[in-house]
Amino acid sequence: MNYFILLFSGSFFILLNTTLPAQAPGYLGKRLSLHADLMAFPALGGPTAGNRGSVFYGENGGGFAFNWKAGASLDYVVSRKRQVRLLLDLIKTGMSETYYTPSNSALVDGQNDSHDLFFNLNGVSLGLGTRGYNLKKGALAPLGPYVGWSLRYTMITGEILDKRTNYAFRGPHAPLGLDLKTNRFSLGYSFGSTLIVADNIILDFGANFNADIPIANEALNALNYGDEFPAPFEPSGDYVKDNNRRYDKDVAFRVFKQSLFFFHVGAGFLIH
Amino acid sequence: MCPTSIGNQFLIHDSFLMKKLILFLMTFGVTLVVGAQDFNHYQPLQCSGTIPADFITPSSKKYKSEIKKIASADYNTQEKKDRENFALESSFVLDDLLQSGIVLFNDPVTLYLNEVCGQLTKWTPPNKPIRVYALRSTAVNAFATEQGAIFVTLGLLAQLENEAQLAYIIAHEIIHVLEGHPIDLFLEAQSIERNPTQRSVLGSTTFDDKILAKNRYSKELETAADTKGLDLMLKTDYSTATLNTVFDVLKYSYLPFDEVAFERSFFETVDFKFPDGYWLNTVNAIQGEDEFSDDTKSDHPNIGQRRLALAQALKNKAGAGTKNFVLAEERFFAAQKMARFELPLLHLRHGELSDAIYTAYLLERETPSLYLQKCLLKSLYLHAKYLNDGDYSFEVKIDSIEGEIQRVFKFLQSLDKKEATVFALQKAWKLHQQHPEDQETKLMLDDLFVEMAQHFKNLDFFLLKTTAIEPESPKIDTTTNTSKTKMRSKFDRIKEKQQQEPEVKKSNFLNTAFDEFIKDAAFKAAFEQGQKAYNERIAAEENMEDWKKNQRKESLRGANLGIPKIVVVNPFYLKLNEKKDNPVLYIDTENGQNSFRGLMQEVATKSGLKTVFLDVENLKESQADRFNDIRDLNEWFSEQVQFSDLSLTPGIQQEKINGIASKYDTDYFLWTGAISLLPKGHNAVQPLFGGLIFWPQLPWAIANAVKPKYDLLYFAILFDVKTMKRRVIKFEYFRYSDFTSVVKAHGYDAFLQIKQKD
Repeated sequence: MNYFILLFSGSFFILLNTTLPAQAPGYLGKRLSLHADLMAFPALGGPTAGNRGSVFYGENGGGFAFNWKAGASLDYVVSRKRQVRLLLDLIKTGMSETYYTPSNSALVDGQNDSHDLFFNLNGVSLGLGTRGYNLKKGALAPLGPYVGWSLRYTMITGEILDKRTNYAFRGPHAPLGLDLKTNRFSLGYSFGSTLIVADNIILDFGANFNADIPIANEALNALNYGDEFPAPFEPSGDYVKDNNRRYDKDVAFRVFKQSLFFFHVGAGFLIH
Repeated sequence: MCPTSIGNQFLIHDSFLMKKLILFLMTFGVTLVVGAQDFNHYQPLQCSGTIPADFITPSSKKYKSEIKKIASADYNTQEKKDRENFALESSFVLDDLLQSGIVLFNDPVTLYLNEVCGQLTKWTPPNKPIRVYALRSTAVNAFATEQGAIFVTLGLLAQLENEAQLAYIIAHEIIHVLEGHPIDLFLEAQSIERNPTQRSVLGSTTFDDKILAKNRYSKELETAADTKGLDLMLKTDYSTATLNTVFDVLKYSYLPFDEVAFERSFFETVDFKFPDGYWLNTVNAIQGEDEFSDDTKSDHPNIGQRRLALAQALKNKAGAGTKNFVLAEERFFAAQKMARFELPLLHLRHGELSDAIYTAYLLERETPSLYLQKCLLKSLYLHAKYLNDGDYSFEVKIDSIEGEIQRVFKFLQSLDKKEATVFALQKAWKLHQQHPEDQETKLMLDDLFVEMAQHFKNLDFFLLKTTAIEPESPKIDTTTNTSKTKMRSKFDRIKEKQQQEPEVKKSNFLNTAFDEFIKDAAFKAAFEQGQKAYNERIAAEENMEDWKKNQRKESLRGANLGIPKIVVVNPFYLKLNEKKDNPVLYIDTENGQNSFRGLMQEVATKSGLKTVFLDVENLKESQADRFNDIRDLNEWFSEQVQFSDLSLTPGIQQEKINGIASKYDTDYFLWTGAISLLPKGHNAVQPLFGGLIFWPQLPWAIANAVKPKYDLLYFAILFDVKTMKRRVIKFEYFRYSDFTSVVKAHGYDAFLQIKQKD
């Protein structure tokens, strides 16, 4: 998937190149900045990586906890109201799901072993974004109230931390066969406001929404599994393939819930 | 004359020796300057020499010094607090006055006033130094501040008969200073506000009662100043014979400085006459103010009482003085003449066009002068511009105006916009022919040709002499009159009446306006040029699509004017808390002013734009010329704000502004400022509740409750002072954004937009 990374960073620099002739004051002439963001929201729709939150796995877990996401970005002011951003995010969360594998009993056909699994999902997303600063409210990029849009490509690696299997019968069992790597496209919308202190430090407060782009993700599935595009999800008879497709959807849904809404605080440094 | 007509302010003075030195220098300079004025090319009064410390000492420094004195005195807690409040308000309000440019220093009139004052202060304690400043105002007034600054308006000086009368007024003000009347009045007012029922004069606590109590005390102080002022006068060589007339000055203070018939021939020629209906046959008799009017709601005793009290005092006291003029008589009249010459311009600045015309007329009769002719032209020019603008209302209740000036009011009100434009153009052309070198006249003339294009597409109307429209006879069919009368409606009768009453045919006279020069090729060419400029202006205004496109482009890319150098005039900062009775936060304002100025200088340097900062606070004692420049520029800016609806109207002293532009080697001047504001509706509690529901907001809600964030208005308006074209580079309102970074970012952006080029 390296070509996606190339695509994003390439687009970023092409965008910069095409907008550079625009007259942009930046902040006292400084237009390039490097940011770190922390995004958080109470874990309501699933367990955190530490199995905390209102929905959790097994008997031990739960309690109030935050989902979080950490990000970094390279921002460049291209006009008095616009900034383009190259985004890098790290996601870490938990997921509790049950998967089935066919029992290999010679006596009864059609019985499944069930596997309750607790995953940690670690994701890295690369994205391209833009922020529009509201000139009518007195903003001037990169300072003041803004709204932003972003497109992210997220690479998520799962890790099974706990597995509890109910076997239908004794005997040999089919392997789960999950490929724990999932890639998703998502679209982000954010709003907030920035302050600048000491002429160099940017402080950023706001909120952001992220949602998968279903059509793009179906296209990814088509690439991964050779499905028709667009195609409905129908069992293929190949349980490994079907489990992997389900896993991808589960991961997507978990990450969707986890990233749907965040408050964010950030700090940046005006480089040049 | 009152102790504190600008709000109970007082000043901190420098050392007595320093003041004596300044007074000496003033005295030395006066004879040189008074004699130097050329009234034909009169130059309005300018400040000169060393800038007095009153003007350039920061208000906060004056305030702190006062606070020290109050702290070391033995006042009770309440009085201490009141005195501190007085010191705070008076220091800052007075600074506003001093820096506004309407107060003069080291000019011939101020120097003369100080000399007269010197005749009186020979008899006053030396520990209370007194200085007098002339105030560029048409009002007839004088007032004093707690620590010795006395202000005398040019309007007052213009009305007096002799130096003795002036001395009496200054003596009255000196008593206010020596007796500490401003602070007494303030303390008494505070006491009445706090505890009105304890005042013997009051039976209740209504607002009116409080006012009455305050006024009663104020009248006591005025009477004391009258009486003791007279005592001071009696010690000098001044005669008291004409002091009674001082009260006539007050009685007729609403009238111009003289009362002379306004001759219509002043505006007419043999061939060009206005309809008789434009002129009043008689004017209202002059009544004067009622000498014994009810003064319970006034802070001064009525004139009659004061006059009687003076007469009574004079019966009992006798002075040795016999002179109406202790200094040379011509000194008084020279200073008065200058004061009078200032009035037409001051009236013009206030939009008082009839007053400007009449005062110029009075002066022109005795001292014909290009300056006065220009004042007249400026009045007529502005009148035409205002009328052509359409939104301007020239409604004055002429019936309530007394004296000869009533004729001028009537005349101006009679002119319609076409007539006003033609008449102003006629005057402008004639003056331009007489003084082709005068740039101000040329500017107005060119603009009037553009205004003419609104009314005339060519000069045919002025060439068709034989077609002067005669009133047509009413055409009433008398043969069928009886039968038709029965049939006629109200509207028929109205129409018939209109036919029977021939209206004043205004156009009968207007077409002779340019007879003297209508065939002059230069006039025709200028007329054509005006048509062309007008059409271009209209085309530009009509092309809204281009304008919108430019606006969109500018919002993204900035104005990008490509201007290499500008002058920044008096960067301005004000901090207001609308929740307080007195919303101005004086100390924060001054600190903010210093900070704002520093930030602007910093970002201007960063932007690479060449800038010169003109700022009263930063002036050195020797920079009186810069002080004058700031004053002239600020007045020009005020005029432009006043004329904002009028297209590209030159300033009232445009030539001077052009000179300033040349001096600083740029035509571009920036007025920039910030107002930090806590609005009345600001609510700190509501966000706290909000924060409990929407928790991420809580830290900000708490912070806002502890230290409210002020809204911020930032503006930057750039003028090409020679063409009057303006660009609003910034006019931004930020909510809760009183941050240095916001001001810096927008200041930098403003300078960059001015400097950068597409």
